[in-house]
Amino acid sequence: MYRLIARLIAESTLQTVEMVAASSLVAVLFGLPLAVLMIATRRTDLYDLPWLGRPIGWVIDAVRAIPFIILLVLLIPVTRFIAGTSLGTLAAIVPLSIAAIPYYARIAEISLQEIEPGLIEAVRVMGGTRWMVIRYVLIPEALPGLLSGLTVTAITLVGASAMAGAIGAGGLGDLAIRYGYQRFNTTIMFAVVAVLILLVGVIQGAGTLAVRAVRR
Amino acid sequence: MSLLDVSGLSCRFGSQTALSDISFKVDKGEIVGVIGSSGAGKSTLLRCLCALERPTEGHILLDGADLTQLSERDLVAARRKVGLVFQHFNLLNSRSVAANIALPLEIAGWPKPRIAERVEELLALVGLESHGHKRPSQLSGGQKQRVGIARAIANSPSLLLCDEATSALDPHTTASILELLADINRTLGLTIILITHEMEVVRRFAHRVLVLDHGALIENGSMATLMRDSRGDPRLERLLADTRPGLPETIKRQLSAVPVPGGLTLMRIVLGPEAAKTPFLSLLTTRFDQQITLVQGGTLSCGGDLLTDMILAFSAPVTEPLAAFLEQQAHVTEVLGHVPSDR
Repeated sequence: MYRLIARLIAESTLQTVEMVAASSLVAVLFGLPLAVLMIATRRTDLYDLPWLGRPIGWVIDAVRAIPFIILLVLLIPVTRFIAGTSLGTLAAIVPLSIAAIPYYARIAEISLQEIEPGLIEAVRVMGGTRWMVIRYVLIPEALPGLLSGLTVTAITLVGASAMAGAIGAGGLGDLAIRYGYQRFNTTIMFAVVAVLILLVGVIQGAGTLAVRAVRR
Repeated sequence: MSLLDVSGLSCRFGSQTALSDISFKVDKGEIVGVIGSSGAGKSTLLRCLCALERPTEGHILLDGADLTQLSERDLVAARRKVGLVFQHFNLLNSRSVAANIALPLEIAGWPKPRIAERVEELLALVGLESHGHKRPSQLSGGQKQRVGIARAIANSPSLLLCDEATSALDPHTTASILELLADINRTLGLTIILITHEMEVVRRFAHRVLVLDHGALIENGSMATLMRDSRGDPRLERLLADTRPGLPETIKRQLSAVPVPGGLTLMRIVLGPEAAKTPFLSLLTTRFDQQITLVQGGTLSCGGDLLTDMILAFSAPVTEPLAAFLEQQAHVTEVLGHVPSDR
């Protein structure tokens, strides 16, 4: 009995980690460039094209306004198109990523916004191009904030991935609902909660270490 | 030909005029101070000189290239000829000290081995040999500014602009930074424009001074000339107040415009460099039978020149021959008033 529980939990944990890791990666890959684009087009000392960045902000807010559980359902056709199916761990990565991209983009935007204008000016005066400003100033100087933002995003995704269980995504949330809630198996329920707490702790710890390493 | 030739420079933001019709030249190797109170247009002038701001009118010729006419692409190259030292250093905390100094060289596309060599050289020049691996946050304000200077001159610019470079530093550190800048000026022949609101900094350091007031250039001359005579211009008087000897409050309160019987006559006397090393006071005592007290002031270095600016108290009324002698010897003689004597 306990071996079965252990196997179920191990399997589900792996699925959750898979979903969180993959969608976090996608969130950075797309969210960070969007944040840079919003900042660089808004700043008068960079591209000064506010009409270009503003619509991106609207789309980001629109996606963030939709509750994740509804987004899951809304995105089923998109998920089918990309993953070939709307069921399973792999399929859940699609809506998770789409929710995570605007979330991370806004968090990254806050960190990028904090950069001293003087630093940008310094590189401009050295004869640096706008691209060099992004590469040498914006990203490296905001790195601690970008990393702690990623930590927050990943932890939020742990919660969201549990909801994705609703479309049969697997993972810890799914396990807790099916065995713990629907079959009244409190042992599994508590075990899942313990693993989730541990998982979030590990993510937060790793994030804090990473921030400390780059900040020095 | 001058290194920098600014002519008819005007800069307006909407209805606000930041600079109006400014013209001046700077020769190679000069140290020029630009002074003015806040809102005088100093920052705008600086931003125009390093091509961050395009003026509304006028021309800025740097090494023969007109900064106001260049396209954004050519400006990127033109900016590499200007080094800028900031008040708040603006160092990147994501990079080590050495990497901060290397940044302008990376931007200019230098090969890596040459960058490393040049950075070593610059660290030695600013006296930070053993600090290359540190983060800027681990340095003191003065050390940060040394890094800022090393970074500004890394790519061998023809003009170094210092924007309130010492305003965030304590007096001792200010002195050492100014010394470093003067050193760089002497050894590398680098032209320096120093923008500041502190007259003391300009006095000690600049060969020539430009005074800005409400966007207009109201003075362009040697510091010694300006200190000797502000022609009663209240705008100059205000700027010079800190560098001039002033009467102590208690004496100021007793001051009267008419001679006091048996009292003292207070005079401000300004002498040129030739008089600084002569026994001027004993000359007055012996020749004119006066007892003289030095109330305030003394000899100052002033853009490389010596200038004596002092307030003297004369025991006897100033006679005709004494007045004539002072007129001949001093650049400025000004009777401040009379006070009763305590004897």
